[in-house]
Amino acid sequence: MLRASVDIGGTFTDMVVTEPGGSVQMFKSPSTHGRLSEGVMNCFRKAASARGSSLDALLCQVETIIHGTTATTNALLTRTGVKTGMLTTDGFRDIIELRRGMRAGVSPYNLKVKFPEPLVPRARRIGITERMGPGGGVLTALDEGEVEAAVRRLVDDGCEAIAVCFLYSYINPAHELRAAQIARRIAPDAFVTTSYDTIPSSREFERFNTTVVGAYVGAIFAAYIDKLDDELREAGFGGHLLLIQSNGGIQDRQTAKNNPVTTLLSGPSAGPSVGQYFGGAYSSKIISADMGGTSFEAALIQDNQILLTSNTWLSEQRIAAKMVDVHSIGAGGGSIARFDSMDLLRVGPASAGSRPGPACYGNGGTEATVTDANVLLGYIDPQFFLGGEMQLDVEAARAAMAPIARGMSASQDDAAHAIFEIINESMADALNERCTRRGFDPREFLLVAGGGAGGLHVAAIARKAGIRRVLIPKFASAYCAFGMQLPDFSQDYVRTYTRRMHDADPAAIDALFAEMEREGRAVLTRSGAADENIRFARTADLRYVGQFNEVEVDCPSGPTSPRSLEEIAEAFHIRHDQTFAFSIRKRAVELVYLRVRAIAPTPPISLREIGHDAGSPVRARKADRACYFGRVIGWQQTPVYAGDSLCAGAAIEGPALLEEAGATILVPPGARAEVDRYGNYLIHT
Amino acid sequence: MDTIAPGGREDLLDPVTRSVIWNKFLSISREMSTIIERSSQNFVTAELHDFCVGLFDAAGRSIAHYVGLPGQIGAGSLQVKALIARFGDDIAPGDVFLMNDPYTAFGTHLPDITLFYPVFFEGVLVCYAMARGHQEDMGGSLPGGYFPGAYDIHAEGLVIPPTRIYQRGEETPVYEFFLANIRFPDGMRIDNAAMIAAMKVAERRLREMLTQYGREALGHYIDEMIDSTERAVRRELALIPDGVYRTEAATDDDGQNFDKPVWVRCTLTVQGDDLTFDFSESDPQVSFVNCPLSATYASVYSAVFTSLSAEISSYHNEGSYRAIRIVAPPGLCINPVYPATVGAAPISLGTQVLEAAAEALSKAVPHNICAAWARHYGCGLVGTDPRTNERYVFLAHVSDGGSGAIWGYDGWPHISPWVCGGELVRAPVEMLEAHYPWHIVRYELMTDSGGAGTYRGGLGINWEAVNQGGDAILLTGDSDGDITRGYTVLGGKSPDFFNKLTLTNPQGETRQVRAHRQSVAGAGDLLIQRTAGGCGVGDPMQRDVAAVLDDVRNEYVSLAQAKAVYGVVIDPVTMRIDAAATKVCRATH
Repeated sequence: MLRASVDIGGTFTDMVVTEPGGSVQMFKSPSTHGRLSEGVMNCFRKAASARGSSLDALLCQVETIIHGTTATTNALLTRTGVKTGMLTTDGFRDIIELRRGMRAGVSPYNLKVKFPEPLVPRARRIGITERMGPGGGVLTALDEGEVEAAVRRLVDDGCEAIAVCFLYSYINPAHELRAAQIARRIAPDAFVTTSYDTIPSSREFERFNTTVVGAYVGAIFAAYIDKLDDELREAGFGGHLLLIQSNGGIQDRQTAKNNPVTTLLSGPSAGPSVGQYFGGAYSSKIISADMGGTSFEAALIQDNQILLTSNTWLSEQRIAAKMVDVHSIGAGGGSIARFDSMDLLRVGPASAGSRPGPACYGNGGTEATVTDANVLLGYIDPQFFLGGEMQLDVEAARAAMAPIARGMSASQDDAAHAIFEIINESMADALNERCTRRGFDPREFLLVAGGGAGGLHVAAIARKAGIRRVLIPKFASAYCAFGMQLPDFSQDYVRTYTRRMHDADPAAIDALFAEMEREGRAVLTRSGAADENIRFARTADLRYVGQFNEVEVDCPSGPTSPRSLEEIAEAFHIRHDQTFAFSIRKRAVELVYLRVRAIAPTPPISLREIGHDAGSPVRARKADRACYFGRVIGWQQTPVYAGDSLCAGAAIEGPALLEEAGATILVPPGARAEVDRYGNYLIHT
Repeated sequence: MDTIAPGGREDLLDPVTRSVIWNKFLSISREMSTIIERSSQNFVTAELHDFCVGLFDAAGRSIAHYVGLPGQIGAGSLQVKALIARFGDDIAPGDVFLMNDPYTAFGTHLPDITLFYPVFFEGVLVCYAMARGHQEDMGGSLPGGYFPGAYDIHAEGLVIPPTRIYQRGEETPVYEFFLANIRFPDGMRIDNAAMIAAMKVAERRLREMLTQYGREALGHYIDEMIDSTERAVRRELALIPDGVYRTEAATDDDGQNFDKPVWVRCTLTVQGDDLTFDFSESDPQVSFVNCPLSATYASVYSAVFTSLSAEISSYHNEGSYRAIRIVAPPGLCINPVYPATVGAAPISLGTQVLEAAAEALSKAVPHNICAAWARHYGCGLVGTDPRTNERYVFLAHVSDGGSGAIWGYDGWPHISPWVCGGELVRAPVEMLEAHYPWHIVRYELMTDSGGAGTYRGGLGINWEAVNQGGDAILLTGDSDGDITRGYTVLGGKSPDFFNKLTLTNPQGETRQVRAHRQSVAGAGDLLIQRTAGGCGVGDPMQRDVAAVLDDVRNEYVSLAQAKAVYGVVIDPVTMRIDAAATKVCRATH
């Protein structure tokens, strides 16, 4: 039985195929726009021929396809979701437009900015007579007649999705659930969702907006995934199509369709699993980074946990659902270099994308990009780009670099190197920011990196951030597709339980945990998990009394007791200190949320070990190439190695270039690369 | 890769290092801000983000503003200079200084406290980190700070000159003394711990930079950052037509002489790339609304910075100030002298200083200047929560109106006041009701509240809540705009109505409570705040017809206003534009 994971990117569709206890193989094929499954099928054809079987025979063996998609993210970014309406507590229909009065990230000195239009315009937000109090008691009963009339109005207006968002539903969802029931009856074809089902936690703007985002993209996601599923089935696939969630776990198609917010960032959220998987053997503190054509995405892993956040803004929309804390900056191979009004050289966030792409692609790009710089610096072989599939135009790169060199009054080499330095600084800053936000010191971390452009930059980035070791997996060029093989099947649950620690009732806490665990068990077994494999992780969010933000800590499994509550409080003080650089033990602590993650583990994959031969670099060495390393070192003849010919135990001193099928790795002067038994590269910077 | 060797002057020509260092200063500020926001307990800081951070060199020059309230941030540079003047060489690693005095330490109003933390490297003081935040309470005769009619500044709260609260990492006795004189000392401890933690993170990051580049080289780069900002600012100021431009702006009153507006008067002289804002004609100092010098400076800077191109908005520092001269003689409302009260600052009269300065600029470069934003409207409520029997101070800014339009862009709803630059964040209903005994009935946009124009002002708010506790002191000190309002640009309109706060008791009797007053909201009273939005830019008759239709569909604008003010006739049944009638209406207007 085979598991295939698929990452459909703007340029390439990546696939990784694994066999439990057997092989791991990687395939790449150009993405096919329109009929996405063609790119996937082309990968399967490559896989079939690599295994010496027919396509049909291969597909019969594929039990699951795990997919991460940017379909929902793109619908949000390009504002191509469906027409959505909203039912909300009367008197509060503008919550998502008031946005708590935030300009969110816009400089107070920059007023020439368009107001971010809410996803549901005011005319389609209808107030409903109903009201819960802060304790969850009913202050005003739900007016069901109003709900019916409002839903009819929205349907007449052409709405395909309805978000039901009432105050305090996170404590008492009765009104929301009833209104949703009515809405589904009257509008059976519409996608109806509630804020309770989306994210049952306090703060109405955050909860309502997250719900509206889900409603807006839900139908897009459903259409996308059903189409892909149909196409794959037509082509002979008979297994399960599973999804990567925004929190990094795997879920089934139906669960994802019910709560589409969980599919945002599905794709990038798979990357950190790679760091977790490979880095664990080297360090308990890991940064996972993926550098592609337009963006650089970094996330942290601590003590084998991928860190999550509920503080995301995406395309000016606040999304408070827990997502992998992937920090994305506009830095990639296509990032464009320009001078800004302060005459500072900036690289990114503007990108030449895949069309026209960098100047050296010869598709009409005229501005200098990171890839152009890498070509001029000698790091990229214009004859061997993407394993020789594409010829690069060095003259076009040179022409694009000329204005940058003039602006700096520098040579072309120095201009190209400045671009390399600045983009690396941006990425190193992003890593620093990731770490310091959490109170970590980046120097204690191992950097695990991949992506098409990652190999050339990662060692330099690590040096700038003070990171001493970098691991580049063999499958680095299909980083996310590989990552999709790894996560467990999981579902997250949350309940509000706001009590000061000394007033907390262990029996009540256990009842809430048990309720969430029952739900989780039901969903996971429905999706095919064996009952005996399911396990649960309990956590709680706490804060000092008076604070407004919480810190999540693990709860011991087993019955809650006064003693275990003390342990939880102690864990909170420690985590608070780690995160914010202080703790106040005299201050009372309160519980806010209880959470359960239900988990059905994915069977581990086993990587094939490569042979050991410390002398292999001699055979793997190809022709040398001249590379430029800045004014101090200058041009230097740099050996180039064929990655596939290197064996475990090989050690290579920088400067060196290691050529892999989808990417080239730069070992800078003074650094040293070692090949491990799986063919991964560990670079000591 | 290889680090560019630090050292001589030729490094200044290295654009890469310059970019890198500049970015690092900005990212340090962002980190400080995150720590404060995420770990404060004070409602105003944690949920409303009424704070700012900054980095200064040893001479007290601002290196990088990035995060925070404009109305607070401009003061930092003056404050650190006051600190240096007072302590000179007597500043050691691990010291933390606290201050809020408008008269000896360039404070704004007393609840805004400022902490400074010196950063040493190789035994030499190199930088100062600053964190500044609005506290729940600063002592004085009433909680919260925003009360008019105080006898003198001592009645408004504890006045703190630059004071050392930590000496070489150890808390000094004066810190306990200070905490004993405010109302919520436990909370203050957390908030100060958060701010100190943020400054220590800045210290760590600055030391990393110093290690990498060396003290001397970094100093050269800071000089260069400041110089190049000055050059960029001057390049843009040079495009403003030379001339003399006069304006004035008023607040409703000073909370003692009721209904007597207090006037700020500005004469802007543009000459080449120098601007002089002369406020000498302003009214003499009054009570409560006086704007301390630092807030006057900050407000003028905000007016100028928002008129410049967006590209330099993140790069302001000491260099930005150099082309701007401010004349504010002592004893006037825009530079009061001891012991004048200043509770409403930097909102009231800071807003007027900003408006007067911006309007003056609008006379020269109207397409670059935002029309006036809604006047700040937020009442303070002080009482006891019957659920806990604990005192509460409810300062939530939940009824602020919108921003003014700027040519090409409509204003945004609910983000005023301009002196806060849209950095204030409003509290969630679900948090407010949990923390305070008020039941919120309504929190919505107010139809027809935006000033009309080719570009419309952002809308105001309709906020209603019922007092479920006992009698509460109602302080409208940080409100304004019941009888005054700001300017428009290029023929835009102000909103049709003024801000208004009313209380309706359970017997159904309604009374208005004006801005800058102290009153009582009784048990069961319904409190209603309705606010005007921002002002418009350009003739409303020129507004895009489709945009007007959209406004009507979303009830931003009523059918009546669409016709009367915008000249757009819409069929109330089909909600389609009557093109012929619109043409006539616009032609005959």
